[in-house]
Amino acid sequence: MWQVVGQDRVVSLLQRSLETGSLAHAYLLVGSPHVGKMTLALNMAQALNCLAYERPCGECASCQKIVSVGHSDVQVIGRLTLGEDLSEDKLISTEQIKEIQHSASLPPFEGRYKVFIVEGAELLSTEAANRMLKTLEEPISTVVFILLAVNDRLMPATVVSRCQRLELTPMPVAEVESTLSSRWGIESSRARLLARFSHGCLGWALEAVSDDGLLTRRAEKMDRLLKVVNADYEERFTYASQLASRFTQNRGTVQEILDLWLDWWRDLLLVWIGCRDFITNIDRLATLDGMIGGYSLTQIKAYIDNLRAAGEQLRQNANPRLVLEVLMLDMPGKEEHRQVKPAAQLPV
Amino acid sequence: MSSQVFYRRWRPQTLADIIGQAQVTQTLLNALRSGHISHAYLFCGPWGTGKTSAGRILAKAVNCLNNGQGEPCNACALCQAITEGTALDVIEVDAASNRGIDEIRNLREKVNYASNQARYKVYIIDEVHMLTKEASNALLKTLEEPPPHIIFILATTEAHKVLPTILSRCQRFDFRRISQADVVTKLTSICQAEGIKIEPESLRLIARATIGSLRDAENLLEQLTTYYSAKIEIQQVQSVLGITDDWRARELVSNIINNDVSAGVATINNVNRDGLDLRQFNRELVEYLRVLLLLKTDSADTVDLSVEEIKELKDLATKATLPQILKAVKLFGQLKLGLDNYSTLPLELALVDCTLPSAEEKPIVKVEPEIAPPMKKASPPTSPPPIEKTITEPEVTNEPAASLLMTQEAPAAKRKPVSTSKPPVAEPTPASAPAAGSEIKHLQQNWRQIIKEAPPGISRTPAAALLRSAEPSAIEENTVILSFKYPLHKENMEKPDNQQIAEQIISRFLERSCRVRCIYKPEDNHLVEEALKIGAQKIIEAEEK
Repeated sequence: MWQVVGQDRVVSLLQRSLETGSLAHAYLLVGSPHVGKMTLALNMAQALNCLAYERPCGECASCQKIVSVGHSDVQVIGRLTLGEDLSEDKLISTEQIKEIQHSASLPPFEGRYKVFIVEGAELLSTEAANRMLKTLEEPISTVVFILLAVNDRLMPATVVSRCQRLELTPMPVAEVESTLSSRWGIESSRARLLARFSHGCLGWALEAVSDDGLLTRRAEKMDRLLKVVNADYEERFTYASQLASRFTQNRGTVQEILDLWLDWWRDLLLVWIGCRDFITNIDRLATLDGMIGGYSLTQIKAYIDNLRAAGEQLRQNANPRLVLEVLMLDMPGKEEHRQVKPAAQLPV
Repeated sequence: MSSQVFYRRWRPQTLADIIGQAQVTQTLLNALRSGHISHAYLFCGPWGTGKTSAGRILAKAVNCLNNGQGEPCNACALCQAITEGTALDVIEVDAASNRGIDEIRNLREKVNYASNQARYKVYIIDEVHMLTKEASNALLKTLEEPPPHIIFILATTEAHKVLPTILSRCQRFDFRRISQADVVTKLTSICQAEGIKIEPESLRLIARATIGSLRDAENLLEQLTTYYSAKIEIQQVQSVLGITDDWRARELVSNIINNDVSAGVATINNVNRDGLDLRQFNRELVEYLRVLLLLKTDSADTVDLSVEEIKELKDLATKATLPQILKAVKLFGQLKLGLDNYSTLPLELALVDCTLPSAEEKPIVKVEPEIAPPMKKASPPTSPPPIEKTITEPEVTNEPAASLLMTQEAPAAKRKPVSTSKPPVAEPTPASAPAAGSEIKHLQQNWRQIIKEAPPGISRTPAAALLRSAEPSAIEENTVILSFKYPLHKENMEKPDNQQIAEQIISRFLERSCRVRCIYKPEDNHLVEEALKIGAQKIIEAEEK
């Protein structure tokens, strides 16, 4: 049984090549985070080494071992985690590739194939990527490489061209919703919400199902952001400096917040235009409706541009605090509202 | 692995097999025939164009037991051993993995030993650009004058990273991107041999998508055959490549022309939902808009479309205005969909931008309602801004100093109070006003020049220096208004001596007598503006009073 959902095209391709024995020696799986790249890669490893007739069975000893990362012929290589603070190494080093190369020159130990899964292949250092080239082009017949990448444009073209490139596209939101409710038995309203939040990446939704904290944290962040919209500049700046200090520790979380924010403003834009079908935050439709009154389309659009620019600047190592503060300044606030409100309250 | 992938199975085995590189293969063939074999070759060019393959073929050709002077036979023991990679005398070095000086020293030592069976010992050093500087230098002497039985073949995709001293010791062969036609020929022969039924048009699509890399094309073909087995339809190729049927692009174009944002957003999201490649979609969209542009400008001779399509497009073209199409082409053409692959946001933003009236094209008040209708709820917020503006402006004009500030910002705003007697604002204002307007422009443009060309007695006075830091902002009848960025300058200029000289200079330029009035206008600093918006107070104003 293939565990991957919503990637029928890719799965049937692999299934066919398994049946006809025309499997390639190197695959590159490209797709957004949480779309199911790793699941598919592990499935392929299982299928290659499965002992049952209908591969991958998921039940035989070999399949079980692979799932629990205990199979000696299936190796997963990714960025190394350093120390206790969970900060990650920025790139995949040559040392790791050296190990693969050595290991790839040996025949499999217990299974039929040696499978190397390289997670985050765009993070291969230039040297590491070049080092892989020859091995990747013509490995011995019992070796299969599976490279996983979010954005293959960051990888050297020489590496990409040696692999069969398979793209995993996000599932349609409606399909995520139906899968969640039919296969995991999640009630429909919750499934609908999770599907929207996941942007078609089932992995995210499933993570949210198993970890309630994920959704609560998301809601908390959202509340905070919404509070900032109506807050005065002092509070906005406090928030910016908070974010900035968090950025120095972990870049990911700030990008996440920016993405969340981007989603929100996109929703505003869509509601403004009148396309309510495609918005993400369906649980806050009332807030959205309440908010659009304060903005013109130009304002919303300009702010989305600013948000995108800010994300780009952060990626390019701009001063995070400055970027975030400018972002807070640019936010089309409700100046008129704020000035009007006290006046309106006075007569009451 | 029971079978090899296409690019390994169909690796060319003779020089004639290498396609699209006639300049390389012909030269090599001639060299082989005449026996003038160089001791060092450098093959460089983009990925998937046949560098490594050419290296191996050359190794076979020089060592072939049957021929030895031209194409390899691929039948003798040595040729076969080289093809299988088991020959002792053909050593393929992965320079990216063995890039240190120690590895090269090791290689140098072994170079001196005689070959085992073959005539020549051939070193194929692949990815040679990854050698460290020291390693490259260590190789130099050997590369220049190796023992007579040695041939070096260096291959790389990045020749610019290779040391020039290495480059100059090798015969360099540049491999080109393979032309579409050549890729199609090669793919056709593979398809014939593999028993794959596919239309030439599909092969052309594949060739176009892989921009001249045969390995990429072979990979794609293999993917198609494993998925659809031996019979491949053109639609299947399109779906694998993420090419949309162009009706979707057409739909979006008509949405843009009709200013229908919500329908446009729906189109974009549907394209995304169906798993089509947004980048490809954008490309098609731009292409479509381009055709529209050509039709609109009556230069449609080059358009390669059926009569019906052209007719449909013409209908659209008559509906659209040229600026509208131009704007759309620009916005969508500049779109970068590289980084966030699956987000529809960039396309949506461009769409909104297209339909958003820009201030220059049409008056804001007139177009806003056009956008508003689709949703009734949001319409109130849109109309207030223009109204507010019209209210605030007359208020401001009551204060003389403030009105002067306005004049520079917007010429239209300046004219309004002047021409209140005439109802239609858009019509040209009385003759004197444009004259004053052009005069001030003239003055502003030549400001530096005027001060420079002042009579010798005047040009070096403090007044002239002060004038340099001023900027003429308006002319009111016979009074030129100068704005200063710092209050100190303004105060100095207001001293009678200075003022007199300034008037003299300006009058000389305008050829009529003028008076000068000074105002203080802080610099257009966005931080200051922002601060003012937040509610900061200007201190300077209090001082002036």
